[in-house]
Amino acid sequence: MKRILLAEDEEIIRMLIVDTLEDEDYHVDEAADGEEALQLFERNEYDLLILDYMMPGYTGMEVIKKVRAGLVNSEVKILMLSAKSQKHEQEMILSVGANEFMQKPFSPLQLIEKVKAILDED
Amino acid sequence: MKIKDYFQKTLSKKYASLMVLTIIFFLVGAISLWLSLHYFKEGYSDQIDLLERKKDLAQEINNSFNNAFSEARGYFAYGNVTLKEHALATDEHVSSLFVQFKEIISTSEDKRFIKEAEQFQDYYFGNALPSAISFYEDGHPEEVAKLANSTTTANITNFQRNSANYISDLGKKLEASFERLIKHQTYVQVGFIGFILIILLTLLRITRILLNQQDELKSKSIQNEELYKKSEAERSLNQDILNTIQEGILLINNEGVIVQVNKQLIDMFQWSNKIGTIIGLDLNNWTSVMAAQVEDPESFQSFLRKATEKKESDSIFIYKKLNPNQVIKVYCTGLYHVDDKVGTILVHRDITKEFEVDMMKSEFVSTVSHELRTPLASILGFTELLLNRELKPDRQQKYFTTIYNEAKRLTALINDFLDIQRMEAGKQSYEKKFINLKLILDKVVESQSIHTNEHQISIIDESNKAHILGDRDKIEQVFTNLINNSIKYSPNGGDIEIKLYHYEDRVFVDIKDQGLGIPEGSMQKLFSRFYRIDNSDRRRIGGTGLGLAIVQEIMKAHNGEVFVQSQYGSGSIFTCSFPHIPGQLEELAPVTESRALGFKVMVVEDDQSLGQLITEELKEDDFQVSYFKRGKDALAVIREELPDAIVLDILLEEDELDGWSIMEEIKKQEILKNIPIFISSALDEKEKGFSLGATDYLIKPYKPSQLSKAIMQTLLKTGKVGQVYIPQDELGEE
Repeated sequence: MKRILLAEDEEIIRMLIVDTLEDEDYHVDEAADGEEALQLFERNEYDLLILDYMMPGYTGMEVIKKVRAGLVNSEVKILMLSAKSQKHEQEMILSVGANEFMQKPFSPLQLIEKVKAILDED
Repeated sequence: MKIKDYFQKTLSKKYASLMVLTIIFFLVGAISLWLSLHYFKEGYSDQIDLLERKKDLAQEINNSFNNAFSEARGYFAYGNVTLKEHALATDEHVSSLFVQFKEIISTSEDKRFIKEAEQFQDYYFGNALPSAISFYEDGHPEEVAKLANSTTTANITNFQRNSANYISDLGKKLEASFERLIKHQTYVQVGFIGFILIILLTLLRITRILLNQQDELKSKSIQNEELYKKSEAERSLNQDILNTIQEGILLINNEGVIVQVNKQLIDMFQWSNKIGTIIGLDLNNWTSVMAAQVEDPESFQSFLRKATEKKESDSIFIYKKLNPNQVIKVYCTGLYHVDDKVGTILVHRDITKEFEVDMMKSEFVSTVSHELRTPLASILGFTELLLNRELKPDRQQKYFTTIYNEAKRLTALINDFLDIQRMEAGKQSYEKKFINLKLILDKVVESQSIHTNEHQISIIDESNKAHILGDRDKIEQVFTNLINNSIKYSPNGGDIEIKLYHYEDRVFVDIKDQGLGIPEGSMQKLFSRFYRIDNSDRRRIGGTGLGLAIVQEIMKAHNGEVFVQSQYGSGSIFTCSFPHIPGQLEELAPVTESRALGFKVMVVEDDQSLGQLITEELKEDDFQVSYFKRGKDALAVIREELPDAIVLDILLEEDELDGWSIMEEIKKQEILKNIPIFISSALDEKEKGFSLGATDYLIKPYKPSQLSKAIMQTLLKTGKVGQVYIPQDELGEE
């Protein structure tokens, strides 16, 4: 079972994503902000990080930078969720090190497809 | 100033030269007086000396002869030889006197005198005396006497007479000479006095001319001074105008030299120099001075260079100034005199506030977009799952609940936004009625308690019936927002204490929580719209940043105030205060029923059956009712009836007047305009109704008791119905 770490400050969105992915037999760990996410990331080995762009404390971008610059599992796949709709904003997110980008509001079914696509590339 | 100086100088110069001239004239006069006096004196003294000498000599000659006579007589009398020798020696002495006299002979009289004297000498010493002596020595004294008696004595007497005449003539001449001298002196003195007088007169005349001239000059210089003052006043007015303008202004000429600058610009760049020292600075000097305080000096300088070049005109540039941080927009435009460009005006405007508002707005847009997207994401996401998945009923229930709540959140957000827009535009209408704060607080606490299990919300009512005049819904919104904030911003739970009390003539509501508190730096901005405290501990707390702005707007509309005290980290107290309505409510003896005791109500209603219904209802509450089917009839008698309240229908079918025009007519008249009007209409045009001055607006269909109650409430409020008591709960529920 693939292990996914979700960092999202909005409880309801977190519930939506967790429910959606757990139905697809993924194991999902939840974090309410970037700091919590980084702590979990250090302790466990994840196949995918799903990060919200706007979070209190460390933002999604900062989490990406720390993960990519870290020693452990720095090549982990990362999917970024954001309300940013501008193309240059999305490009920037990808340039920092995210593998995929998904715009909020998103479709849970599309999320499943994206997650599968990212993980199946391996 | 120069002109004045010049005139003053030349005037004093003129005066000085005049004085010098006068002194010179005076000196010349004095000297010539002295010289002429001297000259006269000299001339006369010579003459007088001569005369005196002649006189002396003549006298001496005479005396010598007389001596000789008396000595000769003495000799003849006493025979004293010494006397004889003396008398004979006189001859020689007389001769020497003659010589002296001859040297100063000047007139024919002198010549005659000397001639006679010489003849007499010849006669006396050459003839008479020797003959007499020889007679005497020969012993013939009688011969001597004979000689004397015959000729000598006569001759002597003759000579003595002549010389005495001569001498007295000389004396006369001398006297005449003196007299002439004195006469001449007097002439000269009189002439001198005349001369001085002429000088004085001339001086007087010239002084007068000069004084006139000075007066003229003075008036001229006063004129000049006035002109100067006027132009100085105009100049300082211009400078004052420039200094009063909020923008920093810099005027440069075509050569790039500063011609004019105002105080604002100097303040903006914190120059310590005075305006005068800035004027005249060269392009390069002042651009570099200014650029030193700008975030991006290169582009700033290049803008200024382009701006001051001849062809580049009317351009705008925005730059950020450092210390203090300001955003400044500068526009430059050519200054033209007729058709010639004479310079460039640069206007620096501090747009920091506008810039901040813009920033706030764009932050708000991103907040709103985030806030909108989050509930939307949930709604869309869960709906998609519901549509595409076979879900167990409990999960379905959970999803539906979530969707419902998120949809409500969206609605609240949109409402908040619309509310604040409306309030700030002044388009919010308030239906103010007599309300009890306690009842509103009870309701809000009840509804808010549902959202939390972690907070204990309590109400302490220390007031004695907290009645205010307010819009029930809006006041509810105020407390909903404040209590909701208290809950939201105390994420770790705690007590929320609401206290109601009177202080002076106001009603206060404190809402105290034990939450996060407010950092000191944020207190001031707390009530501005879109402002949210940006701290990690509260970022997860949703909100639009509009709640408190709405609270403040509503409070303002109620003559109320809202303020906050807070200890960062240990909670906040939000306090609202309202004016207490000085109704006599508290002093009333409780009566169980409403009684209007004969207050007159005029009812205008075209639907007869509804009119009757209203009339009966009002009569039951002891109002005196006069009912009119037509507005015109009502208007005809209204000034006589002077009702205490008017119930007015808007759509009056058989009437050429509708309710609106009746209202306008009533409000126009001084004695009628304060009569409360209650609109009873099927039309929902509350805003129009209230804007025209309606006291209340009831939309048909309504319960007739509602109208009666509304009328009584209003009369209560205006203090007209002192005897009426309306039970609290009834008021509260309405």
